Parts: sequence; structure tokens; C-alpha cells
Amino acid sequence: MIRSIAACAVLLLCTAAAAGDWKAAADRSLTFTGAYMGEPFQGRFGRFETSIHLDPANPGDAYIEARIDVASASTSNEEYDATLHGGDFFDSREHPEALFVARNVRRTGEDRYEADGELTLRGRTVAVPFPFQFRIEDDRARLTAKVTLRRLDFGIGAGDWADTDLIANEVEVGVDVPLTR
Amino acid sequence: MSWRNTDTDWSTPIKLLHWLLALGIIAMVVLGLVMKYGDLGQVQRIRLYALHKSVGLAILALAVLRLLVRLLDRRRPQLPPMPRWQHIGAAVSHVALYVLMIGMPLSGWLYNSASGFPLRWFDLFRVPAIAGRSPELKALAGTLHFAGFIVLAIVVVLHAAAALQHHFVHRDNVLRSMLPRSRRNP
Repeated sequence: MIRSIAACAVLLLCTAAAAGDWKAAADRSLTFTGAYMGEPFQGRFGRFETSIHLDPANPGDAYIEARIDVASASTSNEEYDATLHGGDFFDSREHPEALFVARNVRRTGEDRYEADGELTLRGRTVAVPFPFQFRIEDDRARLTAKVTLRRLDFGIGAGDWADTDLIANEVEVGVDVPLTR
Repeated sequence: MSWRNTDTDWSTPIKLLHWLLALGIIAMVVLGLVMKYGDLGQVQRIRLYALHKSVGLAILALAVLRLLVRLLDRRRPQLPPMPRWQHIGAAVSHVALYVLMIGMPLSGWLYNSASGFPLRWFDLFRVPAIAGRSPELKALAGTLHFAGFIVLAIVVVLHAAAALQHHFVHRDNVLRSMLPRSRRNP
């Protein structure tokens, strides 16, 4: 009797955990928009993996994690890309992976949440408030967010490049991740 | 100050444009060589490129203005007697200089546009691209810009050498007709 109750409890717990686990679809995108000489330019990370757990009934237990392959960043401008991956910017050879972790998820409205994020990029970890939308439809969901980062917080383009009139400090990052259970 | 070309002198606008453009072209050659081959930091290099582009656009505007002024007043100062080949040589080099003064900025602008780089005029305003991003067009424009530079360097040297020869060897009025009037003997 006790054993079967325990089995039931474990089963329930497992189902509850599974209810909040999401797998990113292949058409997920992670983009960034910066400005060079006052002119905006767009780039994207071609490869990143996510680990997302979010159950709207229990947002406190939610976490979002993304591992980003820094070398997969591209602006489709070869000169920009050469500089971007070089030692003064992403330094992707020395720091091939960026890590984003968000915890302490609060619900702020219908399909809207806010989390305390931490982004480690170029070896530096910086706190990033992470407001996002999370819309669930049956077995599918979609996480979208727009976050503005400051490149100099991560030491990206320091030294001579630190002039923010040449390259703006603010970089807008766009997240769009379709998910399935 | 004369608004019209005379038998002995180019008009003041033509003289002014001639010397402004001469200064601009020399500055562009120096800037171009230093920014491309100089031992510079990346950001310094970018700033020199930005300056080169701004001066180039100014030259384009001045060269078009000069061409209009020249076409509106077809009279020109009298030339001293000289062999036919020199007349032809002068005419060809002058046409080449107009083509290059307009073509060099245009090929540079095309190169910049095809590369997908932004363009600002002396950090004052944004200048639009004249073509979409394209590696093929970029290569073509780059080749044109470099070939134009070689031809320009040759023609400018011949042009200046001919002017100096007229002035110091033949002692005629050719160079003087392009100088400020106060520099001329009565």
C-alpha cells in the first residue's frame, strides 16, 4: 500500500516536472542589432542550445538556460565578422561559448514574465534583467524577448574601440524560440 | 575678379575650383596611400577612411560644379602656338581629368555601398548607398578605383609638368591664365 502510494507520488512528480519542460524547435533565432557610425547593423547566432523549464502554474521553479556558440555569430558582412570574432571583440577562439541563465521567474501579466538573468560572455558574467513573453498553445509554446545589453559591460570592443560614437554601447538582442513539449 | 573667361584669363570661379580640386586630389592620394598601406591601428585606419570618403564626396560635388561652369562658358584663354600633338595631348588629358575627378569618387562610393559600410559626410549627415551589398560589385568597384588611381597619378604628373614647361621653358601665358591676377605681370 505504502509502496504504491509512493510510486504514485513519484509518478505525479515526474509528470509535473515533465509538464514544464520545453524543447526548442529548429527555427529558433537569436539576433543582435548594433550601430556602427550611427547606422544599424544586424547579426545572428547560428547555433545555440536551450534548456527551458517553465510551468505557468509554478513560475518560481522555472529556469531558462542557453548555451551559445559564439563563433556562429555572423552579420553577413565579412569585414564586420572578422573584427567581431577578433581579440578586441568576441575573441571567439578564447571564449567559444556564452552562457545565459535565468532564474527567479515572476509572472508580470498574461503570458508575460520577468526573470533575473546572468549572461557570461567573453569570460565576464553580468546580471541581465530578463523580461520575456511565454505563450503556450497546447503542446507548443513560444518564448520571445528583447533585451538591451551594453557591450562595454563585457569588455567587447574596449581600448580604441570604446568610442561609443563609432560603435554604440547598446546592443539589442532579440530572442525568438518556438518550443514543443 | 572676373565671372567670365577672357583671352588671357580663366574666370575666378574656374581658378578657384581648379586649385581647390588640385589640393583635394593631392590630399586624397596621400590619404588613400596612408590609410591603405600605413602602419596604423584599426580605429585610426577607420577614421582615415571616413575622412577619405568625405573629401572624396566633396571633390565629386566640386568637379560636377566645375564641369557645369566650364560648359556654360565655352570661351577659353588663347593658347600660344604649339604643335598639333600637344593640342591633342592637352585635350585628351583635360577630358581624362574631368572623367577621373567624377569617376574616382563614384567608384569609391560604389565600393563602399557594395561593401555594406555606412557613409557619413564629415559626421554631419548620412549619405545613402548607391548600390546593394554585392561581393562581385565590390571587387569591380575596387579594381576601377585602383586603376583610376594609377591613370590619375600619371595624368596629374603630365598635366603639372606641361604647365611648368609652358611657364619656365616657353615662358608663355598658359600657367599664368590659371593663377590669381595679382601674380601676373601687367
